[in-house]
Amino acid sequence: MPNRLREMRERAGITQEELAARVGVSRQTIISLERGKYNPSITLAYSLSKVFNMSIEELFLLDEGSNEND
Amino acid sequence: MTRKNLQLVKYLILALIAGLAIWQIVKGDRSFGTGLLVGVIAAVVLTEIRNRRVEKMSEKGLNPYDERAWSLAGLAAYGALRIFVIGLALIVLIGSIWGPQVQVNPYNLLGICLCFLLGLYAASYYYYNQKI
Repeated sequence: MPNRLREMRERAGITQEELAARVGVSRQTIISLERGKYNPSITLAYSLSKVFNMSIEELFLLDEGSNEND
Repeated sequence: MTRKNLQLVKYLILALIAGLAIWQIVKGDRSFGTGLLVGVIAAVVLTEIRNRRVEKMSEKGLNPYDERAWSLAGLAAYGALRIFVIGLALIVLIGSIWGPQVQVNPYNLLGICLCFLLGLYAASYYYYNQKI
């Protein structure tokens, strides 16, 4: 799923590890999310959007063609 | 049950298996006993390496058992099972028609199947870890 995670993280000046610690996941998960390879659960998407004071729709962009993790 | 208690149970089971291995060596079945002992040592080493990694991540506030890890484990288990079932079905089918009739020790056969399934799971986990 395409998203603006990297852009927002870099704008906020935080590292992948710091972001991972804030939302309680591993750094690998943040890397996968930024690459658009992994689709987060609604809970994680909510936590991430809360970190950047954005709505989920602003942070994660729904690509109609790919809605699966696999 | 907490993770520490689970670890304790795991080490108790490993100690029991190590005891069985030593008993087998003393009894005369050296190859089986040695294999079992090597397996126990490998399991202890791998558990310790994983524990250290988990501790390091926890100290940094990271979660080593996050949703991606669970998702990977699920995908890997399904992938391994799929290959295992298809592989087994093919072996049974081909073996029943063209293969020779052989007698095998069922425990050895089950052990080989278990190793094969675990190997497939590990390979599948590695594959999905690279993919997502």
